[in-house]
Amino acid sequence: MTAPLLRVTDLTVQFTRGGGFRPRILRAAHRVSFDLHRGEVVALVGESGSGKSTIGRVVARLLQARSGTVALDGRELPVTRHLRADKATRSRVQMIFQDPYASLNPVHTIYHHLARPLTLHGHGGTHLRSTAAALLESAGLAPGDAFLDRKPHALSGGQRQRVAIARALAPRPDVLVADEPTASLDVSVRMEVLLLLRRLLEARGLGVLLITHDLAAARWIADRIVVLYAGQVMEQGPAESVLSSPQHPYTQLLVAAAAHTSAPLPAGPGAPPVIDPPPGCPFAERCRNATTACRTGTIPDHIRPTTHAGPWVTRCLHPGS
Amino acid sequence: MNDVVLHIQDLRVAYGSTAVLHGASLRVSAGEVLGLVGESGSGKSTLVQGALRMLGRPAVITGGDVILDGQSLFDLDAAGLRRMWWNTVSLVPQNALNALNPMLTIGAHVDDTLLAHGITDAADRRRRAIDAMALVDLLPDTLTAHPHMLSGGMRQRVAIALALLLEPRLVVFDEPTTALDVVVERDILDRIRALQAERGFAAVFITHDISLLLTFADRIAVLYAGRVVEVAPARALGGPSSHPYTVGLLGALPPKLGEDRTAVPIAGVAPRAGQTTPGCAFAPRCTHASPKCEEPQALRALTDHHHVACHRVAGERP
Amino acid sequence: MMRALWENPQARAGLVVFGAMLAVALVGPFLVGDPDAFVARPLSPPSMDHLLGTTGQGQDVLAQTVVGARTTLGLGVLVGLLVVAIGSVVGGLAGYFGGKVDELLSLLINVSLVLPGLPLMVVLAAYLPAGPGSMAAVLVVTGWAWNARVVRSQVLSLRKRDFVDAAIVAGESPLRVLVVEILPNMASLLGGAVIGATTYAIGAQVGLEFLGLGDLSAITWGTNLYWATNDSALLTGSWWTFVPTGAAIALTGFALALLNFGLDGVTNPALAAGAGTGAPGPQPTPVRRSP
Repeated sequence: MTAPLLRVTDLTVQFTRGGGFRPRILRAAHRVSFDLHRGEVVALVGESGSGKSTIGRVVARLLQARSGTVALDGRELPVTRHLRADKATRSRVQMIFQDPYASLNPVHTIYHHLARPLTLHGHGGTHLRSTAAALLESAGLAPGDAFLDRKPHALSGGQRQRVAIARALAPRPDVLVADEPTASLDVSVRMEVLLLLRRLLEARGLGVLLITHDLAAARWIADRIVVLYAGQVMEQGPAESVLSSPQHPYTQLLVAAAAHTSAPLPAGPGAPPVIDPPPGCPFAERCRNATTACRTGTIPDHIRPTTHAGPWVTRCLHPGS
Repeated sequence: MNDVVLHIQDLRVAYGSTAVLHGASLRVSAGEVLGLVGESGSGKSTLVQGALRMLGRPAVITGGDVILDGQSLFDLDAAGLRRMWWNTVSLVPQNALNALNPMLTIGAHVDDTLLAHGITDAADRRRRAIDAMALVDLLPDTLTAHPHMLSGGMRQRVAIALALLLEPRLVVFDEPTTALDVVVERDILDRIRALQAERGFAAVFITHDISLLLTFADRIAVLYAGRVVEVAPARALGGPSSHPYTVGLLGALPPKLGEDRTAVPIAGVAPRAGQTTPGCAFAPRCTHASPKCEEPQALRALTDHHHVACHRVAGERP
Repeated sequence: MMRALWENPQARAGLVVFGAMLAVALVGPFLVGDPDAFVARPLSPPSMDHLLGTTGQGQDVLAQTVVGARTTLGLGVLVGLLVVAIGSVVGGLAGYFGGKVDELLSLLINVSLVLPGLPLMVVLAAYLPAGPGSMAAVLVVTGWAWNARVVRSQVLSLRKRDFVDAAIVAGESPLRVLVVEILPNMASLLGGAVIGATTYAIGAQVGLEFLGLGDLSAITWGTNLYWATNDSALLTGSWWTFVPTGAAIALTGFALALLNFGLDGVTNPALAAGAGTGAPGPQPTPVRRSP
């Protein structure tokens, strides 16, 4: 396999909650590792509290990590030291946010939203307006010129999300972090946006880090899937394989719940332990196969090599049961 | 299932001078779950809340009738309606998670509701409050908690408990699981079903997630551009005699495990709330459109339980 | 926005009246005589020669009222703008950067807020040499902190919005994000703040001058009132020496208040005329069948 475009290694993100004598640690992500290659979609899936959004924001340099590394084409980014990034670094990783109503500035025109990143990264110049229009068209908004002078409130959710995608593409990034890009959109529009991302990725050789809780969409559009629970990677591997025969009990639970059948689930609802977390596997308290060993010590990785899309890794003492 | 609790007939609602609902009809019986599905701008919340006259200014009802438990809601005055609300029909509102007052404890919410409906004895209220918590598997000490201390799933259960306080005949759930994770959602759905089996109320479940309804609801009503375009038993939805919009909607979903198909988005854009055409609003996006689609399409019965507003599917039957 | 303001009846009334006062302040002095000159017997009531009578020193009240408008309103608007400008800078930086910057600036803001305003004003005004510059300094020093607080909390909340993160990821500098992306979203808040600060500036100015702490040789509304009291206006029943100025101040305050209400109505449609009246409790959706 070629060297990865983005390599996340042992990433840990922590927040302190409350001061006083015993501030509590909120562990948003713990020793997360995964790779993203060019032309690939890697989906970070999990429920709320899983840490998937946090990881995305660290990659986009909006949040600081406590430890671990994030490397872009082999070069490490200072994710644990500060949030400052020069324009060249910023241009390489861009982000699309969940709520298209909140990610566009209501007082500015669509033109402003595109002209700024184009100018900042040297793609401006005399044909700024036509470049912006072309960018909108590549995101499926045609004719681009008709949208430039409108304000966000005049557009539908799907259209705003396309503007957000066009804006993210303006600096010609290598990595696109898409944080729940379709969660706020109508069902019939979601597929369009995901297909657009796939098309753009192939045309421009990007890598897309897709953050989502929608397993069906992840299976449809992602090459690899990383399943997160309480900030830790439970299982990762080729999307189709992981979702059709999940090895980790948590993945099995997610897949069963998302299937919308009436069959009973392997475990009930419960909150992931993110505050002052106990040792061992975070899913142990809900897992019906859990043993004492699961609640102490480190859980090993079971690695199963595959012929495509990297290895299949399950962090469990009793995988596949 | 003959005990029809709610009958909405040809309901028309406008916001100021803009008509948003153009004649919608629905029926719900005791013990059944009627799913109401539609995208943004389709009018699904407007339909149910308008029928119950729970919409604020500038909404106004411009036509039709609504019979709840034998009583026409449009004949009632404000006092009569307030007696109906929460007693006979209750609502678990959209974003119930954030509809709870952050300054009040859960117990205060329950108490306020009971007091507002004339339950003056404090001991009686206390007993009902504990029962309400037990109904949704919450401990009595939840009553002393404030909303922000509870998880999303717990708050949703509180909202359900509040809605069932006075044992209504009909409960409307407006997007109750949209903001919840899939495992918690499943738990809530299981609970609703169990409570319904126990209490026998009729349930209207509004959502944009049609795949959820296919296994959860008994019958499903599909809304498009302010009109009901199809009502069918859940199993029959999406088949060959379904409305083209329903077929398109189901086809735009990512395929499930084991399903052998490609997801195909519906071409075109849905009309904004308030836009109307005399004929079928879906025609511009429909692959089978013909000149006949420009005429008004009434909901026609294919069978007793399956109605479709499409001349191509339902023929000329009345 | 300006159009919406004009269409709102309260805002329109406020704009018209305040505009008229400004017009009087700008043009009036050229149309009246010298306010310092001795024109007739002191404390003469209004007559055809002197429409508003004369002061205790024989000066024309009309001329004094009109000329006084210029300094009072001019300084009032200037201080209003300055207070909001300084408050926005300090509050904006505190809200945007957070952390140590916020701690330091919040300390500064809070200390300024805690210092008793009126005594400080009096002390400063008494200590500094008389003149418009000193007056402006006193008003700004005692008035900027409240605005800073308001701006800070609004910036803090806007800072969390996704479009701010999007601008940062796109590579915008922090200053551009604050000024170009965040502040325009606060236009109505800042507009209201300017109106409020101007009202404060006029009121405080008049107050200080009335106490004799302003520049007594200048002609302003405040000094008009000071001299009226000093020349025993009330004892002699010479209402015309202070009522015109008092009315002018009240009218200006009223106009600014109307403008503020109008601005609220435009930015918060729920407050607009027509909504929110009627019996308590939820009102059912009305049924109106068309024939």
